[in-house]
This record gives sequence, C-alpha cells and structure tokens, in this order.
Amino acid sequence: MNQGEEEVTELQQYEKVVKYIVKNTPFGQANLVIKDLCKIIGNINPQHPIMLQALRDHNEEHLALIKGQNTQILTSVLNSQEDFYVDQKNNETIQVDHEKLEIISRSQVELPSDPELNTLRDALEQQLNLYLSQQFNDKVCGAYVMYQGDVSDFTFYLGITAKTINLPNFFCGSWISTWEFTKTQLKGDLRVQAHYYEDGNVQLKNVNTFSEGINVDLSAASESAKQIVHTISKLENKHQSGMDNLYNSMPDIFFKAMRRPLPITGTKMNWNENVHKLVANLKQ
Amino acid sequence: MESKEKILSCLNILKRLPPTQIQKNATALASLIPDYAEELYQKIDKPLDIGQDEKGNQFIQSEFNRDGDSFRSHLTNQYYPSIDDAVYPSEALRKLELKANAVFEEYRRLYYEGGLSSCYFWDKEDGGFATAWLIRKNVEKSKGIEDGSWSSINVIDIKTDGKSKWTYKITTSVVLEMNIIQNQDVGKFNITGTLTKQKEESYDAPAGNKDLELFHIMKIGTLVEDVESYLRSQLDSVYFGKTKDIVFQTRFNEGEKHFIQQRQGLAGEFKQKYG
Repeated sequence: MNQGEEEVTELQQYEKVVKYIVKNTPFGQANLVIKDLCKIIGNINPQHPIMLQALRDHNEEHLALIKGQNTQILTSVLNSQEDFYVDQKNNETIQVDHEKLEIISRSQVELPSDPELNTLRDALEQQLNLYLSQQFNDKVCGAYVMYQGDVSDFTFYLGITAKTINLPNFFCGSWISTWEFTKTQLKGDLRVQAHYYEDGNVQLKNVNTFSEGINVDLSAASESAKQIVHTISKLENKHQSGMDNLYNSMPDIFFKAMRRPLPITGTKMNWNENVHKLVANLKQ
Repeated sequence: MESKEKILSCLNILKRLPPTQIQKNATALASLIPDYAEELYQKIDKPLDIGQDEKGNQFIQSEFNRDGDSFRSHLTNQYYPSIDDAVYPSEALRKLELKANAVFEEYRRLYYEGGLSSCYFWDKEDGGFATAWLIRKNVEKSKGIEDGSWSSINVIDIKTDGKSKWTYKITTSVVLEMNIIQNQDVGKFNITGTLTKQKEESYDAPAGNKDLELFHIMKIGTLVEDVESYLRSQLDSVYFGKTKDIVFQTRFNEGEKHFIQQRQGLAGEFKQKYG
C-alpha cells in the first residue's frame, strides 16, 4: 500500500468517529468540537469534506436556523437534497454555509403544489410564528411547515425549535419538536437538551412522543391551523409543567437518598477520635 | 508537547459530549490517538464500577487500582482476574491503606448510610505518595427512578518538603446519574454529570513524626469531607437547577414571556424616570 492509499484508509476510520462525535455535540458547540478534532487528527482543517459532512448532519439533526438577507430557513433531513435545501413555500432551492449558518445563494425551481394545501400551509406558518413569539426565546427560534401529497391524501410536516447558546457562561440548551399530521392524526417527537459545563459537564436529555386524533377541514384553513397549533402548544405546555413538577420533587426522590449534608448526629465526623478508635480495632 | 495538546483537545471534547455515554465517547476519542489512549483514560471521570473477590466481597474498580484488565481489591490486596507481575503498593503503604479503609468506611457510614467505599494508595517517583478515596452509592429503583447513582472520586497527592511540612492536594469529582425511563408527563428523562473541585492544604507534621500515618489519614479525611460536602451542596443548584434554568429560558410557560417582558419594560421606564 502506498502513502496515498494509507492516508485514505486512515481518514475513513476517522470519519466514523468524527460523525459520531459531532452528531452528539450540543447545538452551538459543533464548530469548537470540529476545531479540536482537527487538532487531534492533524493535517486536516474544518473545511475538509469529512468535517463539513459531519457538520451538515449535525445541523439537520438539530434543525439549525440559517439566515439570509430577508429570509431564513431551518435545515432538516426532510428538506435536504444533495447540496441544497428546498424551500417549498417560495419555490426555491437554497445553498447554505453550515459553519456561518448563512444562506449563500437561492435559485427558483418549479415544485409540485396544491392551492388548498398551500393555504393551509401558510395559515399554519402564521400560527406557528405567533406561537414562537409567545413562548420561545427570540434569539434563536424558528419553525417550518411542509407537505407531501394532494388533497385526498396529504401529510404535513412541522418543525419547531428554539436554542439557547451562551458559551461565555458555559451553557447551551435546545428545544426541538417535529410533528406530522394527516387528516385525522397528529404525531410528534420532542427533544429537550441542556448542557452546563463550568467546572464539569452536566447534561439533561429528555425525549417524549405525542399522538392525538384531529380532524382537518381544508375548507376552513385558518380555523384548522389554529386548532392544530393550539393542540401542539397544549401538549408542549403539559410536557413543560411535567418537567417543573419533576424538578420540584427531585430533592425528595433523589438528593435525600444520595448523601446526607451532615451525619445524623448533626456534626461533622470527628476524625481524631475515629482514627484512633478504628485503627486500634484493626490491630486486634 | 504534542501529546499533551491532543489529550487536552480530547478532554475539551469530552466535556461537551453527553456524559451518559462517557465510555463510548472515551473509546471513540482514544481510537484517534491510540498511543496516548492509556493516558487519556486515566484523566476521565466516570461512574465507578464494582468488582468482587472469590468470596463475593465487593470492592471498587477504578483507574487507580487497575493493571491491564484486572483490578486490585482493597480487602485482599489481590488482583481479579489474577495476573502475574502486577503493581502493588509498598508494604508500608499497604499498612496505611488498610487503616485508611477502616476509617473511610466509618465516614461512608455516617454520610451515605450505605454504598461502597475503597481507598487505594500508590508510591510516586518523587518520593511522595498518592491515594484515591472512592465511593459508589446507588439509589434504589423507586418513585419512578430507574437508575440513580453517585460516584465520588477523590484523588489526593501527598508531598513533603523533606523537613516537617506535608502538602495535600486534592482533586474531587462527583459523577451523578439520574435516569427516569418512562414518566407519563415527560417521557424519558435523564440528567447525568460531573462536577470537579480542587483544594490544597499544607500542615506541619506532629513532633517527632509521632503517629504520622494517623496524621495523614486525618488530614486527607478532613479534606475529602470538606470538598465532598461542598459538591453535595451544589447538587441542587448546579447539577439540577442549572439544567432547569437553561430549559426555562429556551421555552417559557404560558403567559410567562409576556409577564417577563412587561416587567422588563417597567424596569426600563423606572430607570429612565429616576435614573
């Protein structure tokens, strides 16, 4: 095997590890992790195809928000094509810079569409943006709505996300929920993550699934959209208050069983006394 | 040194990856730097494992009592599985180790009311010695908790100036895991994490080095107690409170965002008016 071939094989081995590591990195820290991976592997930079692909997967997994001059898009597995993303509403394909989270270019494209489904999609987008403004952190939040099929057999896909990224204070968090509905059924997956890493590494990972019967009336798009987003917000509110209750009960169900703040005597251990007593016992 | 930088980068990455997968994460990173894998593993904090001797007596398995794939018991001073040519503490240090374990067990009883503890000592090249005082405590499967555990890893480095001063440097890491498999309101919920703290103290040895062994145990024990108690007090606010804060500033309860913005608006007005 010559030098060139050896290098290729080594990189292929690294690729699997790189993908795993970047995929599991909390959102907001991927660029830093990639920099460190380059230092470890050596002779590679963040623009190498392996790194860029890992970053792209990471962004799609986390519904990364990509901004343009007067538009924005969420990257997801759903709207991802070979090297661009599809914006169904604006009939565009969009190329993005995954490192800077910026839109590089947009092109017009002809996409299959249905006027009734378009109306529902637009109504949903409006309701989702309202929901985002009411309950999510403004700085990094967004939603998407897409559909497949026609009026007789459709599936809508919704994504909602908000991120907290505060690297100077060593913490990050993300709320990512993806939903799909047909005429009669709404299903959702929620991922909540939090990471705090001053003097350590503490992470919350919480996943939940939802399922609810609905009835979509395409002729009343505005009303249908309101109902669907209302259902979603109701389910997410219930989840969040469940988290609140769980956190409040932790002292009782968890901390108490771990380690006492002080021995039952109410005073710290008397080392002097114990050392002499116990070591004397040992000798026997 | 190149190896130091690579290991540092690995440790940086480990701080960001989910601690629930610490072993998998460590193995993945070690595969990128196979020559320094051993060194990397020694620097990692993870939940402590438990081993048993031939009689079924338990002891803690850690990097500090490991040789190859075997671990030394603090009770029998033997490796399991048994190996030839392994590393043992010197006779004097083994005597100290026995005494320390007896005393540390009392500490564990007083504060943990259960669990398992082990102390391991080893000689160092600079003439000093070091020790790891370890505790593993599990929370029983109850009240919806599937797994819960606390692992304390107290590593103390002991040096003397050759005269009468002894310096003790402690690094304590507490690794906590709390796992809820299925809760009807929140689904699968897991908080896992490590917090680390360091402290250093120096003391003059007792006159004539009388009962020097007991002196070491007392000083080390007091340090362990101080740092563990401090980290215990951080349990609520840091381990758990912080993760809650992060979530609740990402998504607000109904009406809360509006309320906060109103309050901020009022504060701004107040500031403008009264400076």
